[in-house]
Amino acid sequence: MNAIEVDGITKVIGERKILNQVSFKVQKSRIHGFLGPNGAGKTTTMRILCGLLKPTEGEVYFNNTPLSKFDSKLYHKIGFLIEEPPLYGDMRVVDYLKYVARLRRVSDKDLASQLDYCIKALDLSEVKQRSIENLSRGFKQRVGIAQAIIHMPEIVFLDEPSLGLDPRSISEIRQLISNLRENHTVILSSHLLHEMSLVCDDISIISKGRILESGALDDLRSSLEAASSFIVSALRENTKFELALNEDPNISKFSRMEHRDHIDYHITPTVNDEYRPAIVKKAVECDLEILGLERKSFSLEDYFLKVTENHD
Amino acid sequence: MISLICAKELKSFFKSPIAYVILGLFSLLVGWMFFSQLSYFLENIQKLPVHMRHEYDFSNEVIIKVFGNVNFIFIFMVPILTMRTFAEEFREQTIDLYFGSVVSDFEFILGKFFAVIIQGLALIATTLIFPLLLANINLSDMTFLITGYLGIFFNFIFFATIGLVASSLVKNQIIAAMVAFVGILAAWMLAVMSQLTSNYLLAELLRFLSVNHHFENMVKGYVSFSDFSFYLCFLMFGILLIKKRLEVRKW
Repeated sequence: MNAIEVDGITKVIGERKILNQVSFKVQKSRIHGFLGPNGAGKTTTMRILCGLLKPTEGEVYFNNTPLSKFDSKLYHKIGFLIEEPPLYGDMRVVDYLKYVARLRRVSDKDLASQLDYCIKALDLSEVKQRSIENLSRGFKQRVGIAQAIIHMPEIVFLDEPSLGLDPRSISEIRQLISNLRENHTVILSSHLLHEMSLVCDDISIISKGRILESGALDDLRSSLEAASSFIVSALRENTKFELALNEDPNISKFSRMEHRDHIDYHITPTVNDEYRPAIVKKAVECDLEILGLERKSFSLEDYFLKVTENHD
Repeated sequence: MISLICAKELKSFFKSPIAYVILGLFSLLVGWMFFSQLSYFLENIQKLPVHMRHEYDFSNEVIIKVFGNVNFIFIFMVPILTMRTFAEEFREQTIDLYFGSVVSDFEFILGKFFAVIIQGLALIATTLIFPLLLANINLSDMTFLITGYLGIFFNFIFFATIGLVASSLVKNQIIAAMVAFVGILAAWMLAVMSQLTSNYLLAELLRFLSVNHHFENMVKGYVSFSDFSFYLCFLMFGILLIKKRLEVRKW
């Protein structure tokens, strides 16, 4: 079932079209990655989905209810962290979270349990009594995520939650976001494509205000892996093997990369079926002094670059 | 929600050193002005023959002038009090906590407004020591005191409205304070401008729009519906302007 359906939203500011007929769907209890180069319209889309910005055209549906018909009760369903965490530096972490919870009308009965949940989920126990202004950037980011989920919303929007963090914090935030999947639908945008490929179930790629691709990451991964390149490592070059690859209609392209002590053949087949056995057979027939064969692993970065370059 | 936002604002204000700098500076300035007026009054009254001393009115010579001084200090203090209110929320993006949530724009604005009003009351409260000091002196009419305090309270609200509108327009606190200062000064100057024009209708209009005209009425003990409605209309106009400003952010 869809938690969110974005139907042809367009946003024009001044004379600039920031978004152009953006449409995609987000399924319940999944992490949906939102990828795009700088200025692609990611944050604008996120702000529209959160109700912080009105679209010029189009509609956003939450559980089949149009966003434009939202009343305050429905706003309980969403939580967000857009760009910088909205923090009051002079408040203690626990007071800040209580304040945000009360703003979102969390009842006194539920307040303690939800506060506990957030503090545990975001690992904030050791800093909960500290002033926010004295926290490290990583902890501030965690408090930012905690405020987004303090009222237990169904849908959580996180825009660049790992921005400016060190590798250790990035890995911790990734784990925290993965854990959110249990109770929330998460829409996540980030420049860190490797992180996105580790944490997301689905992705949408946006460039110049248009959605270029949208779908399940697993589908994408399997289709890409089936048709992905192989790397055949050999002791030295073999012209017979190269000729055989040239004549094979099932191979779309191959390239050679020479190293100090060996040579790599990067081979891309046209067929979606497993083609490695045929490659090995060909190598043996051509007396290639084979050192190894590996399938080039799926890279979201390569895919992202390919999709956005085609669009450019 | 209004009380929650108001309480948070007050807590934040009274936690910061700026609150005590403003309160201290304000008390110091008003205290100095009060004692200057009082000494001047006592000096002058002693120069008068005894039979004429009752004509030299204490309320006119001290109380009204001190209220005028307080009002003058507000021109500089109120922009400092209000500059952070919305500008800081825009700059730190904490405003997003209130938008797209269950808090309505009106609740948000009123929460902020009441917090500033309470800050103003705290400032005004520091001046209450002077009437208490004068408790042994026979004041001919306590009405001066009550209407005078009402006058400075309403004037504070008037200035705060300008300050809050300015704070909602920009992200930079200093610019917000400067815009507020210019706005308050312009409102203050309307009375002078009304005296410069020879057009009767324009002069009357400028006089009515001048906050000084209404303030002077109140300090002199004349409180009318027209004065109340002036302050109330201006306050409502200010709240609507801020609401519009918040809506513009979503366009």
